[in-house]
Amino acid sequence: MKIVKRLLETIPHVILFGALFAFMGYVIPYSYYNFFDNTHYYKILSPVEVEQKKYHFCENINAFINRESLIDGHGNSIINLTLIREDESGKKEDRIGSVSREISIRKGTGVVITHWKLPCEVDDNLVATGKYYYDGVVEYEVRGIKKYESFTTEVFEIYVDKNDVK
Amino acid sequence: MEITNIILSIISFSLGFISGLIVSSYFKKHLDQDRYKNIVLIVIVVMWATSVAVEIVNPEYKTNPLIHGLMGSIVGFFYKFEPKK
Repeated sequence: MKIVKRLLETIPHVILFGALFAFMGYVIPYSYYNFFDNTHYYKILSPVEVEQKKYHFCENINAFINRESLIDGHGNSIINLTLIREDESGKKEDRIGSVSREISIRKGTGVVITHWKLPCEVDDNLVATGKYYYDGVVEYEVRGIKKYESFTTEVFEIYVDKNDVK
Repeated sequence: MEITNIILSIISFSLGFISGLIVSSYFKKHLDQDRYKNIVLIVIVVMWATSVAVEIVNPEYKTNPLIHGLMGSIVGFFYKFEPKK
């Protein structure tokens, strides 16, 4: 009888403390990562180096991404091709197109060689001779919380021959 | 790899069990029951706080919520609320 009484006395405590510890064990790390953590778990050294300084439209660009990751995981990268136009009013930037890619993230440092294909739509005047660069954002998750790392490439030239335009 | 993990688990469990027996038999001889319970409470709370701290330091480490709950349940089992009269 004494054992049953003791058990009945302790069961509410066991349930209450069990729930409390499980809740706090979730909330404390989550709050830290959500409100206080400013660590860049994935870093890309900008500007990202490109293989050549001049490209023909529709060509492939090799870019050398110098990256450092503190975690293993996966993410999504969105890359934009931007056209820089310089005139009397200053520098203007037009977004030409964007590409979205799934990427895997491996812990450590290293150089990743990636290939981007330049747009081929000369007909629609999407690509004209000029200076361009890519900029992008990598979206990844740490403990369910989204983080972002932005990067830009070096500026390079794209040339379009007159006979390329239909 | 799985066999290695199983062997490591058995070894760590056995070491914990044996050291627990030695420590508890020592405490039973030298301490009264209330102090003995308090020590168990403190040890479990410190272990729980450590697991939370490791989760903060290392984003890739995550303690199973059931383990958090189990540690809380042990604390609840030993904890006795007695309002002062």
